[in-house]
Amino acid sequence: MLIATAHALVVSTLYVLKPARTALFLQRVGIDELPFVLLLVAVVGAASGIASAALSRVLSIGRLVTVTFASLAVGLVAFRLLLPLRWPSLFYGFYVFVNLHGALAVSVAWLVAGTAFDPRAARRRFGLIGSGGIAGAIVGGLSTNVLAGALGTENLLLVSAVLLVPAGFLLVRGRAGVDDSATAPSADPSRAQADDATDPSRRLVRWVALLIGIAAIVATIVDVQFGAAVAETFHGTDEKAAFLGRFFAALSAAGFLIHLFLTHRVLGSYGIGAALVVLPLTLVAGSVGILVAPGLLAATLTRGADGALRHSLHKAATEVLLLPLSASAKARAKVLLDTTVDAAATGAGAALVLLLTRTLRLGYTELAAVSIALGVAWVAGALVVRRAYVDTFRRAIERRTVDPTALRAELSEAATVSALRGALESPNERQIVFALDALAAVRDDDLVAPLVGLLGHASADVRARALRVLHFQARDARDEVEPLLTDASPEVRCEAVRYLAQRQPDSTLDALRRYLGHDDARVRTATIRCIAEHGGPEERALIDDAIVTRVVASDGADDEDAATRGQVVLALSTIGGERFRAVVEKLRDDPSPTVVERVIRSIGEAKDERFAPWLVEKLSDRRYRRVARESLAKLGDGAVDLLGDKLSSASPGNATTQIARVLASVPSARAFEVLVSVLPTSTPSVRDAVVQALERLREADVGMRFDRDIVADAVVGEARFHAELRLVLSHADALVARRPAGGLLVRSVREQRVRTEARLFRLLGLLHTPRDMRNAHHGLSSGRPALRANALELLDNTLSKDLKSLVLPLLEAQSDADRLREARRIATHDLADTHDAIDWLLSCRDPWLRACALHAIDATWMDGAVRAREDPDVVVREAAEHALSRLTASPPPP
Amino acid sequence: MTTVVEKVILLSAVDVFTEVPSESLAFVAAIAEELDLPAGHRIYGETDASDAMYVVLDGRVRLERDGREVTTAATNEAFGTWALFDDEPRLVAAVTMEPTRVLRVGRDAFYDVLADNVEVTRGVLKALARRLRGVLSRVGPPGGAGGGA
Repeated sequence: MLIATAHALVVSTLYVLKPARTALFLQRVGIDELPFVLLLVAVVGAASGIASAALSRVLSIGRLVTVTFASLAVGLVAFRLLLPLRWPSLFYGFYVFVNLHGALAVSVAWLVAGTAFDPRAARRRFGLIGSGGIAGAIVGGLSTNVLAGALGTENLLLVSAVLLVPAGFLLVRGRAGVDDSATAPSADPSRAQADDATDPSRRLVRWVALLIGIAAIVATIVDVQFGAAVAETFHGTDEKAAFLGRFFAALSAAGFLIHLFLTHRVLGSYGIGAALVVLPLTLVAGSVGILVAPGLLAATLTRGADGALRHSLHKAATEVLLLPLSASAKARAKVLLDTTVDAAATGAGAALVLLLTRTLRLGYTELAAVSIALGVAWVAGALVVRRAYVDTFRRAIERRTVDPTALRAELSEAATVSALRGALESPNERQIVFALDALAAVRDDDLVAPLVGLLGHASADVRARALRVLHFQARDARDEVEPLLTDASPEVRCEAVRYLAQRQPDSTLDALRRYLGHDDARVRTATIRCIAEHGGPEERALIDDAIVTRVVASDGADDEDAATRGQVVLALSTIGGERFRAVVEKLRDDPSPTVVERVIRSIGEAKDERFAPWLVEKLSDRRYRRVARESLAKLGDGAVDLLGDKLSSASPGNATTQIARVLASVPSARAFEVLVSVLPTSTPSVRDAVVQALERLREADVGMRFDRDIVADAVVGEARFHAELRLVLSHADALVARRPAGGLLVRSVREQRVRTEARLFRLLGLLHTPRDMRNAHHGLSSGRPALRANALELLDNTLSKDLKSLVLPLLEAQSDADRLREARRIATHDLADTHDAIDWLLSCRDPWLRACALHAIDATWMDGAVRAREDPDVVVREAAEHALSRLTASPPPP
Repeated sequence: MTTVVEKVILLSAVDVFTEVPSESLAFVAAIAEELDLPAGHRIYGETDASDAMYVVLDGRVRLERDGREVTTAATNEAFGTWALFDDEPRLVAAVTMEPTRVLRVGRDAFYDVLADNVEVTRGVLKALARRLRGVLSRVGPPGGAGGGA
């Protein structure tokens, strides 16, 4: 909502400024100079596009918003103060400035929108943001009509400058919490080049560029003709501004109505070819009108048709043209088309106008003949580009380079549906599945015949998906679907029940009830599954005690029986209550892993915290680990404290990692707090998992609330541990020689040192900007002097005094001697010789190092081995037993 | 009875595990079962489904095709490693030449370890990438000598 409001404000400033710009220019400079200023706009626009792109790479998006909006507001105030001087160059400058204002402010607003939401959220919210823009355009245009008379045209600049302040503020607030690093551009140019070389859609992009170019040239001619007509009709600046304000408001409203009522209909019913020729044909008609009856009416209608259609129907059709491109190719093409091609073509249009009016002495009315010629070429180009689009789309389906779900969200175009319909007849199963996925939820009578044909396909996957798409079609296919009730595939049977139940003349509930009592057990189980997967509370209530008792009692190991028991518990999960709990109690020890997995899943669905301890137990069983993790995450905060306790008390190993992963999936401040609280007592491997989980939660922006001192203490602990590992490694030669595991011990210490350093920087990332700390760690590990120096400088300027004095010297030391000296200064143990090192390893907090050390000791450490028999870690206890049996069997060292 | 640490020492010498951190390798060690096999025992036959890799703890295993010896796996050597990554049937048979102890890492359990331990996955992928790079650099660019991919 914040971004939509900001977008509305931005667009309203633009629609206040545009009439002021045109009115002032026409009044003070004259229509004859308009082509020159359009040429200037193209040159400055292209340059500013490049500058803006460069700036966006250097600045964070928040800063980019502030800099852009502050500069534009200051610029407007400056122009307001300078315009009374009446220098012609100022009006040129102001015209260019307003165009830049439009391009930059709107582009920054969409940049914020594009980086604030993931693609799914973007699809939902972009409509609202776009509507905000239309509302802003209407309000801005209408306000100008009133304000130009009341305040004077020049004071409209101050109104816009004031509106920019809340707009910028809302944009910054709207993206609060978004991590810029997540939207950083890819740093792999070679990949982009490789994509270019193999991109099959270049022909399509070239054609689209050509069409956009012709459209921009015609738009420039129409704009000049409109300006000339306005200049001739209205004499005062305020009159001009008021008329233009009304015009732009009406234009926006017309665009909005076309977008609302026409765009979808034309694209869906007549296809992309028709949608692409509406604008050029309208402009040809308008230009004929200008030739036949020159004047304000013809010019206004033509300019109005251009403005209203260009940003609604034509824009949507052009966007659809890019649909077959892969996501990366589309992103590159859009940047090229929206900036370079458009600006260059506008410049070319302005140059053409100059050539025709100055050199060939044509009047503005005669320019309409050129528009007509270009319009005809445009229509021909649109027909060619449609063919290129369909060809590229077919190739994309063959190669599956388009995400079917992304496609589905934008699927409203007849040619696209037609191409996908063709793919349903492909001999390639994967292509059929791709097309069915993309067609999900598309309603088209012509789809029914091919879909019915697919019901007999050899692949169960294809049959089930075909049923899913058939489900959305209006035409009845019950006779063809009925035989699938006894299909070999449970999934197909389930889809068949779903289809038939919803098409029965009696109610869906009655139909489901009938299927639940069907003579054929396959139909009964398919119905239970259908209810479990698709049913709401009413449908689930159909699974009564009698059904539950019968199904739960059939504890056969048969796959079908097991699947049915699993489906029953899943179906009951949405109802919950005692009946659900009783079934869970009964089935959680079921002999079938399928049933146990469903029980675990159903607990998550029911959010029944009572079974959380049992779910934690299942984390140790690799068969159920993943689903137990997902279910625990669904319990949310209800399981967080239990997970925290388990994390503190569990012996290290897979279970602790799993618990940390569960906590990382619970997007709550409490989960963050619990993870931070286990830092002081956990072992290094648990801390690895905890720190990674904290990083993930931070990326999810869960609203961190934690004791920073705990994290700072953990950093100090890691720095000391790192120093002690370094001291151990100073005895590496002597340790390697120890049998049987000296080599493994030294390797493990080295690996732990590397991981400790990584952990240290990740922890610092919780206290400071994660991206800075990642860069610092990368710089220090890179071995490149310049990067290393930058990293140290960054740390020097970022860390608190206490942490700096501890961490920096440890990382800064260059020679081995310096490193050891610093390690001794920080470490709490001296570790002067090998004996000290092994003593330390046997008692250190890393169980893996303790276990390895036990495999490298001799009888001198017999006491240590005896003590290790009581170690909380199972691997250490095993190593202790092994060491004792080895040492008692071999003679003592001399 | 081989301890987890001893299993890690053995596994860390296997080509595909050389890049896996030793502590993470303990998760692979935990799923590795120790088997005592008599002489002449056929561990797997030619064209059998690939389902596990083995490391010889003690003894010798003959790897043969059409009854002819291809190679012998002795103590601390691994065989059948690609079964962890490839669904294709075995190319050779493995038969113990004397009473032999082996460590067996089953593919399904290994996949579970990969799914749960990113460090193991990363290490295995790194080793596979290094091996692929080695193969490509030996093959060289088409029509030319030396070079690599």
